[in-house]
Amino acid sequence: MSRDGGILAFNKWMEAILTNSKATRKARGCRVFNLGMVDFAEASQLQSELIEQRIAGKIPDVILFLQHRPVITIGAFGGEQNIMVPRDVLEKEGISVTHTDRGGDVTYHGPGQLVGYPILDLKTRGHDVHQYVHDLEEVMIRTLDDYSIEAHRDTDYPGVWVGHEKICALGIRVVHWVTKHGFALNISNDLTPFSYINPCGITDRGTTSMQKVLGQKPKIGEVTNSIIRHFSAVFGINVHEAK
Amino acid sequence: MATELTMPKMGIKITEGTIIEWKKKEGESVEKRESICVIKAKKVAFEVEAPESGILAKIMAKEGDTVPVGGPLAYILQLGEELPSIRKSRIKKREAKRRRGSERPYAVKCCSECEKK
Repeated sequence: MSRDGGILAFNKWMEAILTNSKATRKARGCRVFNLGMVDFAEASQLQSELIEQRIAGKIPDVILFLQHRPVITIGAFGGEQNIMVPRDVLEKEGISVTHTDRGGDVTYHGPGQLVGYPILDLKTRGHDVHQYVHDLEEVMIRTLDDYSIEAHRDTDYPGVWVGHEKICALGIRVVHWVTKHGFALNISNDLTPFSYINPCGITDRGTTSMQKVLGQKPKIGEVTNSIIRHFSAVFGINVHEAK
Repeated sequence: MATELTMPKMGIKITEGTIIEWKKKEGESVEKRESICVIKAKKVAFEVEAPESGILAKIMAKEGDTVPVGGPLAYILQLGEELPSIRKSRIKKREAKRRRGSERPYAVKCCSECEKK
């Protein structure tokens, strides 16, 4: 797994893919990009392009780390009934609403929340969707443990929890055994917008963030590094820094 | 012979899936490897591919139905093929069972003897 840096490196890489350069086909292992702030729709489009290339075997596994501008997304199993406030209220708050094809119900993304989109081929990982979800949760639990936050799975609800409050949401789609969408870890984002929805259709649970639990704001870059480290261990991918 | 589309094995611990969406209707043509329906399993949306090209002749599980792994989802026919008669009677039995409100409308039976029980 190599850390390829930011949006400039990513754009260069994407251009090389689309022009069918030998350099991209030769590249092996998992590529990691930090894209910074990206609109949800743009990120979905990027993922679709990468998935198409991954299915065709033209690129290796990829993980995109990014943040979204405030947006409420309705997943493939969800409905608008889980948005509790009128649209004009959301509009005033600068929160857009969009449908998406990931698994799950309604959730919120905003600045300060770290979103990760692993585009992995599960054909090389035992054709096991359940194991993939379990492994992603494990990465998050270990990352939070680095910050002495005791997080756990819940048998009834997806995601990663601190007590009865969700700290990391998961929403996944699998296309030709290639994964799309991923996780959203609340680091220092404003949690108020979660009160505008029933997150994932769940009414009796709350939402928390690392900042809320710790009483201080962790650096997103450091959390990202921690996730990459645990991702490598859990998924058995070698990390080597890009030169 | 008609090609049977079954609930895929999506993981060691996954025993069933729920149909979220049919992307194709009965009578429409499908291409091999095309995503034709979406399954919900362990909170993941999973796209099921057509195993063969042909016509989506019969959908066995509608949106919202939960089907065990290996259970029938649909039949794909190529030119000159028909739904096998055994299948037809099974389809009728399953539909009758479903109308009676059976909890497991697609319980897999191993042979015609079991079917009678």
